[in-house]
Amino acid sequence: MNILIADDHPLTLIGTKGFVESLGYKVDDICSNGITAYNLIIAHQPTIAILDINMPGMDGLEVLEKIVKQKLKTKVILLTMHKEMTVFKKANQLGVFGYILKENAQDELQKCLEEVKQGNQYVSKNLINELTNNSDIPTDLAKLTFAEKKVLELIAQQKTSKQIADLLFISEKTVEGHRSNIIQKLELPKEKNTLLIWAMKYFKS
Amino acid sequence: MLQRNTLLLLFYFLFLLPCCKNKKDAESAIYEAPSKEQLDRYCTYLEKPENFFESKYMPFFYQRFNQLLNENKLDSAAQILAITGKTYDKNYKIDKKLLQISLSFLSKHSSTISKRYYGRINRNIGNMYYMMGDFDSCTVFLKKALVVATDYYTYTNNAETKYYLLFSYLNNGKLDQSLTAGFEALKMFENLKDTSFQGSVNSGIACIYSFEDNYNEALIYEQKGFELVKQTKDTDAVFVAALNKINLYNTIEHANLVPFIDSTFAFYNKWSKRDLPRNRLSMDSWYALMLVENNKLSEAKAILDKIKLILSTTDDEVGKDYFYNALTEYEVKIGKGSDNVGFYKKRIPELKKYEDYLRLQLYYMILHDDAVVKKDFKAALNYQEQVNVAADSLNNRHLRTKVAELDKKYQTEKKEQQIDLQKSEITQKNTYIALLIASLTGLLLATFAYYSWKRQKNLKQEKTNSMNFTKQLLENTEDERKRIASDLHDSISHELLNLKSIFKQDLTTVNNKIDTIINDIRGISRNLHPVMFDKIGLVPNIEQLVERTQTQNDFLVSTDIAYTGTLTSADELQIYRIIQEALTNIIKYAKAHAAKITILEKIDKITIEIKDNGKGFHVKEMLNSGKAFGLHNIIERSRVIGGEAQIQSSAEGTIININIPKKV
Repeated sequence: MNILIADDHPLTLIGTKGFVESLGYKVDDICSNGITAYNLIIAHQPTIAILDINMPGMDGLEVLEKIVKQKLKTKVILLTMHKEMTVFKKANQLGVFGYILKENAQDELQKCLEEVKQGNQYVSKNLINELTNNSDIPTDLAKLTFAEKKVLELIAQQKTSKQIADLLFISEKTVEGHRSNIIQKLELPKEKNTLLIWAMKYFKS
Repeated sequence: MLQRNTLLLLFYFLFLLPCCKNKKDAESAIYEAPSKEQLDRYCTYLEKPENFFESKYMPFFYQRFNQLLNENKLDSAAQILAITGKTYDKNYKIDKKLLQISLSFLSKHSSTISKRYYGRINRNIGNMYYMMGDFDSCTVFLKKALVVATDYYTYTNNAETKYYLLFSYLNNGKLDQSLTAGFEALKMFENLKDTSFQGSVNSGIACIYSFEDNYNEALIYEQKGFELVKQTKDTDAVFVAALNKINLYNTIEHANLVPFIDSTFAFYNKWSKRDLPRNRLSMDSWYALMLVENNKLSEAKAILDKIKLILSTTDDEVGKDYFYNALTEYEVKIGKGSDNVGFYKKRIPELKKYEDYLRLQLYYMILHDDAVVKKDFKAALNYQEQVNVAADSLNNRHLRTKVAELDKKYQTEKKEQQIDLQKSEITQKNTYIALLIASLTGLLLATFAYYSWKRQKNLKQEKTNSMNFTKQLLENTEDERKRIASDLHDSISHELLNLKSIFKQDLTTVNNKIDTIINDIRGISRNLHPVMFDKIGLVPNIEQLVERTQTQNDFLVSTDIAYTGTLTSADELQIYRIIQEALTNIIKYAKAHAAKITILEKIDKITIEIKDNGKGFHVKEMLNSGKAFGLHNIIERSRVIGGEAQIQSSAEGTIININIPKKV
């Protein structure tokens, strides 16, 4: 098993290399830009490539995209400062195996390498937290989506489905869908105006 | 009895130079009568027609003429010869001696004398031959009289000569040449604006028509001629035309013959200042004929006897013919043989020699009638045959057809010329008008085009300037933001990272603190510029923006996005900024329940709609307030990407619509 590391920041590059080697892995190639990284991957077909995203020439996402497109066996781990969900989603969509934030590298890189070696995906815990709503809203409401919560709010204000639909620029059918979802998620008793009663009680307090 | 209608063919023509000429409008100097010529006393005396009858007239001429010849003043000699010949003309007199002098003078000096006198002397000679009945010689000299017209005198001389040629040719039966000469003369007199001669020429043309038995045409031309001369009040010309008209009426046995003779007779007697023997002879002969027709035989006899006395005073053959015609008519009427047989018989060889078939025919008719009266039928038969021979010579059918053709051709040509002239005038006028209108229109259009072009140019320039400026501004801002974002990210974050590794083994608090800093910087960076916008694309970025807006502000934003990414990344960024700006505004000011973002891609354009159900605002007031940077930002950014933003707002909420045409 061999590893390639690419990062345009020399200190980080050498640090990462030393850290990975200290974990007992062999690092075959290191480089500081995307194009070299891509060429080395083509030439040596390493088992794992640890890539930064922001690199001159070609960024980590582009290299990832090409590897996947050419169906190379090399598995890509993106080691980046980007905590932005849009970036992660894009990488995920392209078929990334590992996504680690640099600030968590010391804690997570070993686990990540192990998972990826076995063919599993590994994503930084910080990101996972971002993905799953971890706000401190009361537990009942935490189950609901943002739109469902909005609908619930309006229900508490005794709005009809039609009025809610108009206010939120959604269709009445969508409102009805939200209603039944909320009832299900909150496990409310099946009785008349059950949602209205619950919402009014809840928002009054 | 044979008809004696052929008499009509013996025409009168005008020898007088009509004096009334108004040529103010003459087009060219050649048509313009110069002011009256100053003549010396000899010429002045010789020119007056009334002096002609004085006994010293001719001696006076010879004395002066020979004197000039001796002094070798040839041109003056030619002048005096021309003037004297002209006076002979006016009095219808022949002088064989003068004729000889003229001929010999011309044969010696024709090359040295001026063209004007050369032409006139030749014409005088021609006219004398005409009166003598020698039409061949007449034609020859009249032709010589036609000189190259260089001034008014030569031009007038040519015109009048053409008029005489009409008769000279006609009497020889050369109808085509006669008609040609007639129409040429007519044209020249039109140029000269000489109404009197125009009338006379028309009368002459009438004679040609009656000669070929085309009496309808003859009447038309005769009438035209008569009307024209009447306008001029030139009594000489009126009288000549009247005589020709009588002649024509007589020929066609017109119902108005007798009344017309009567009125002409009355007119003639009232107008007596030019009671020349020739005129008197002709007039009285016709009057006598009228009396014979009316069976007033004794009165007719009295007149005929009276005018017989003036026969010898004139050399005008036509006048004599009229007289003999009337006399013979009278004698036939009273049943007595003519006393004039000898006169006729004597003249026949001469007529044959000159090929004057016209008179020949007439004389044979008279002789025939006379023979019948005298019951000499053998002679009558012979004369009848001679009449036929003479008639045959005249009635050259070929010539007659030709004359008709010629006339038609001439008329058509004339009409065509007139039409062409009118056409060209009209065309010219139209062209001028068209040109004027065209140039005016052109000028107007050009002015209009110039101003609108200039305006358009200015507007376009303004627009381009403002667009460029705005674009530049926005681009610069964007570049700046990008730079700040990457600086924050690459440098500060990394430095903090390294810092963190140094403090690793020590304090968890420091660690946490640093994590916070990193996250803060992330936030700043992200707010400045969406992370990796180029890579991620418009739609995920908007979704991210919406999600963050919802969670951070507890505000529902629904989306309906159907966009496949046909715009450039730079344009997409502008759309992102527009939506960001709009959402910021809604959250800050609208107090809305929710907002909705719609992006639709159509064949030719992309439409973006951002609407909320907030409290709304007065769009115009807001835009002009100077505080609405956000709204202006939206409008400007829309413009930069080639689109247009429309903002509608009311108490129901606000809708921002942006249309971006797709670049082809």
